Amino acid sequence: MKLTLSWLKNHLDTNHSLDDILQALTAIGLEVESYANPADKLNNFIVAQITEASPHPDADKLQVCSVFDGKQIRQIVCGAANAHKDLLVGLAVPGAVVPSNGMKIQTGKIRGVESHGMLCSEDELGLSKNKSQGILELDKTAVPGTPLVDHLNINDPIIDLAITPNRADCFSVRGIARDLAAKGLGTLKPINIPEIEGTFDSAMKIDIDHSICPHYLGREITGITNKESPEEIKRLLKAIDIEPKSAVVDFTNFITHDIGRPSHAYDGEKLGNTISTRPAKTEETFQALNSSDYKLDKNDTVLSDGDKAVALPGIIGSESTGCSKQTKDIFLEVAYFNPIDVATMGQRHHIHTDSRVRMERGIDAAGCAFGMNYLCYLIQKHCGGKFSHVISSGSSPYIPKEIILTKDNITKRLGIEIDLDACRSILEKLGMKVDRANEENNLSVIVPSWRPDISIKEDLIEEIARIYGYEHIQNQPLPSTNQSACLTIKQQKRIQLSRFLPTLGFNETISWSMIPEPVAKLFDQADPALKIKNPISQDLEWMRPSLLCQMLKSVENNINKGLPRFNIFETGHVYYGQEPKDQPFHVAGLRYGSPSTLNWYNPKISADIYSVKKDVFSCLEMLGLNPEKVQLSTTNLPAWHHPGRSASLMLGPKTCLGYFGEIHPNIQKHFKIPNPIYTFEVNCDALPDSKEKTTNKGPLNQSKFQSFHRDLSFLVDKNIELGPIVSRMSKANPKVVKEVILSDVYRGKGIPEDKLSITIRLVIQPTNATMTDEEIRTLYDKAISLATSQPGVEFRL
Amino acid sequence: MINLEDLLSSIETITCLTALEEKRVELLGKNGVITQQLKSLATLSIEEKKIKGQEINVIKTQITQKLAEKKDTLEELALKEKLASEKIDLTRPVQTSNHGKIHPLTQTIQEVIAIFGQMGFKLETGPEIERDDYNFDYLNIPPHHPARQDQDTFYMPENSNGEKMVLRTQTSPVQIRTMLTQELPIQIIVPGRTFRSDSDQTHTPMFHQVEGLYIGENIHMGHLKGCLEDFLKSFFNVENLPIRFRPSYFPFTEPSAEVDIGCHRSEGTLTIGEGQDWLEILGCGMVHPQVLINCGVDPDKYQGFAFGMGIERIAMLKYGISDLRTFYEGDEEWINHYGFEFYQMPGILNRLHGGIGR
Repeated sequence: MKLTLSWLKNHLDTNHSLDDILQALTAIGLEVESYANPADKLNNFIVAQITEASPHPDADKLQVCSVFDGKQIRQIVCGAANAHKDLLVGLAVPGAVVPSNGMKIQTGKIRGVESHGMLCSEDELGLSKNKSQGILELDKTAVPGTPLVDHLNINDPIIDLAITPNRADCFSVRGIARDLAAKGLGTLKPINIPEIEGTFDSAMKIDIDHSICPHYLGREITGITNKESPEEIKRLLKAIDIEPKSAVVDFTNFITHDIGRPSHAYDGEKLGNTISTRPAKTEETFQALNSSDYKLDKNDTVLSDGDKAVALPGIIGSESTGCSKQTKDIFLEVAYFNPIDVATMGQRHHIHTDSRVRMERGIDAAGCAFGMNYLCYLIQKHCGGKFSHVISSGSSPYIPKEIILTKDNITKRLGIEIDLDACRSILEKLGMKVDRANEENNLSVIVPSWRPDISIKEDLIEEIARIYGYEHIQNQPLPSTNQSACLTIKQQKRIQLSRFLPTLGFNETISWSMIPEPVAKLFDQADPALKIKNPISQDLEWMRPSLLCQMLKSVENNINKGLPRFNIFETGHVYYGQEPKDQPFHVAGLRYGSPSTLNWYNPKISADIYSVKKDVFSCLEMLGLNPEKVQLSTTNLPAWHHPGRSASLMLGPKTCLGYFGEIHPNIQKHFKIPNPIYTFEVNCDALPDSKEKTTNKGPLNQSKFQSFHRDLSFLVDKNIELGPIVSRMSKANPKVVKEVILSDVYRGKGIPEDKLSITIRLVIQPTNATMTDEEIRTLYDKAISLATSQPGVEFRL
Repeated sequence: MINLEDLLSSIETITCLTALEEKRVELLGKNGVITQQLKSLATLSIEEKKIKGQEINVIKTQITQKLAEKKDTLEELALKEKLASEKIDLTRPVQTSNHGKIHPLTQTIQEVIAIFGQMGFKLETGPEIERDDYNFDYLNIPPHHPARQDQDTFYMPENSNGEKMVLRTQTSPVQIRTMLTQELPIQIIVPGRTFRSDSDQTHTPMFHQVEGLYIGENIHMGHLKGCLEDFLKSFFNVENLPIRFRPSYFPFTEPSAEVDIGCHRSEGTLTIGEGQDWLEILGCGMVHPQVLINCGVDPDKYQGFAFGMGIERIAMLKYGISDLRTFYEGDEEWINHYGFEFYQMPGILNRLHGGIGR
């Protein structure tokens, strides 16, 4: 919402400075987005008169002008075709900076002819957004030498406010002035307008659906002179970026901004003799005043003159019935349209007009008659004409409602005591009718028709608080009632996980929850319930079923940048369905290239399946799960995994915790990743809840007997799984076998081609007594026999 | 006769431990010179034995001592030589640590949790594909409310119960879910992913918010102000941070406020703290009674406040990250530059992240 300081002062009697006003506006919730005085940019611009204009000797399109600046004659080269003798113009003298382009004016030669300044167009001066054809032509009253801002009367700061959607009343200069007056920055001036009497009955018939338009006023005016509007109106409209058109149109625009009252003027000669509401026809085209065509359908309602649609109610009129300077007879419409209907239709057709903005937020429901009279007053004064009686249909939907507000209500919500008389004064200045109710500390408040946003006592408390000033509400510490932990165990583990994974060498990424359709297909995401109905782009169309979808994309990007290695992890939600339980929290890690950076001391290896197996088991352990409880399975592997080089992590026969392994070559190819890529992904929601453990760690039971180890070697068929051998051996004597370590796997020289040589270390920790040689031998024999109980495993030494 | 001086000097000239041992055997061994001398005493008279014996013992003691000294000296020398030969090149570069970095959004979320956690807030989360009514209607945003047009919503197909579904445009539906299911008082902090169909320099279709809610019997606007001022000073680690509460409008709060913090701009850099400018940082207010009623909470008995802010925004301001879109690109150079170490745990043990009541 834009306004100028002088416009504000038409409504507000104030001695306060601009700075005070700007600060007060923001303090009461009418946020100042920007302000500027066009005059500040027009120093060194003065009124001048061309005394002579002759063609430039060396350029067809240029003229050499003699210009009188009030003191002397200057020679100025000018490119405008409209420069001619006697014309009064705006002159930029050397040193001036042109507002539109920041160019500094200097004395110089143009095509060999000296020029001492520049004659300016309206858009160069920043006074209009329209690219004008020639230089600004000033009226005859201009006196050479006068500062241009004084002649144009534009020494008037323009203020731009961000009005919150609840404050329809502040989409008007008057509403803003009223708020400032309540804040104590002046007094609201009364508007005294004489009643414009009608002299005849209009023949127009009004047939309106009152659910769409509860109150409609119409008035016919004949025989007007629709010329340019008064300079002051034109100046104000231009200041807020509205192009003046003709007096009648300008007046309707003026009162829209002045008192927040949208209205419409039809050209009477182009209008039939009724105004009615009707549903639009299928495929009906509406050509609006903004030169756009809108395709309507049965859901839309139009105002019709019995033949054609003449307006979209409360939004915009039709091109065909619009007024021009030739218009002689007009029909004025001042109405209250249902805000929801206006909003719905405006949204559906994406029409943004000053009328819609106000109507959909709720204009003054009881203000039609005043608006009509105000508009007629302006028209009569400037354009004359013969006025009909006002035709009315329906009635104002405003029902005065009483709200009881107590002092306790205010204190309880704001935490401070405000004197009830002060509250009363604030509310009254905002236009409320306030009485002391029955009891001592109660106020009875009647809300005015222009504040549909206020309906409960909390709304009134807000009004009091914002005018009284939020800065007067004292900070208070929170009552300390809540002593239990901020995080649940699960939440804590997830936070710890995010800080643990970097210690394994992973960088964290956060990527889009949405993925493109081809990726959704690769990742088997096919449930239409997970496809966004109105995606912003094809790249973000489906909800991801796996964190890896976008992580692989970032691998592609980083490989394109030439990075040889890449270890990333991500945590976040994935989507199997729309229910909360089908949006589980996952963690995924991905390794590409070497796990560690290149350095002579670092192991020179590439990431492989076992590196991510190590990662995923470390994560599970960190999350509180005993890794021994996890079984590997190759059934039900997701489509994006290499079937022979991946496994799912099962907790019991039904619970799948996640997957790890190599990414399927097809996926690798899709993301243009040249080498194999290894990943893991765990569904953290599938993990069992860990129980709150006691903080007591219990006693440390250390054995006083020395531990020792023995390495056992076996020859194993190469396709035998080694994991089960190790598990079997740990059962040899669980009391004393502390660890069973697969310490070496060898294939090559000295070993048959279809075999592997493996070494398993038994770490033994006697608990009660030193073990006898006999006991030790029995233990080794047991371990060996457990290992070799499977065909294809043979003890070596 | 034995010449002590000669013997001592013959020991002195020895240069290695082996030769020294040979010398010890030569002098003090079974057949050594001194041992022989002592043996020869047997042939002498008692008187002579006494005198001669004393002489020889003096010599023996001196030689034993000399041998021990020499041994120490030679051993020290040998160690020195050994150490000198063991020199290793320590200039070879090593990689200090191979660990990765934590994303600044994760770090920021954890900082926010740490600060509000100390004030008694509990962490709460909710689904990202959310019911349309939880995202809007329950929050007092009816279908045609102008505020609803401001939020460009991503719509999902209706769920199996015929309910309209959206990608949540704010973390506020978690307020609703919590009030519908939990006992009062409720004091929660809700970080999470949110979505709006908007994409330009300062908007991305996905972003993060953090939401706070405190509903109790007497929670008023003074508490709201105190809580948020403490948070902002702690989060930005600026003791005398100027903070301004400005009236505003949200459908779900009444009164509503936007909060600005002071800042200083010069030559393209922005410093949080005292200065000539204000930066909008968050929105807040006293929860609208209709929202409480919608959740079955009696607004005559309970009241409280809510607030919300953008995580990306506060992270960008605190850590000087200029481009919003880079947060989601997974660029290695970016994360190495803007990321955090695992040991930079937010909370009172981290000097930079303050903590309330400093």
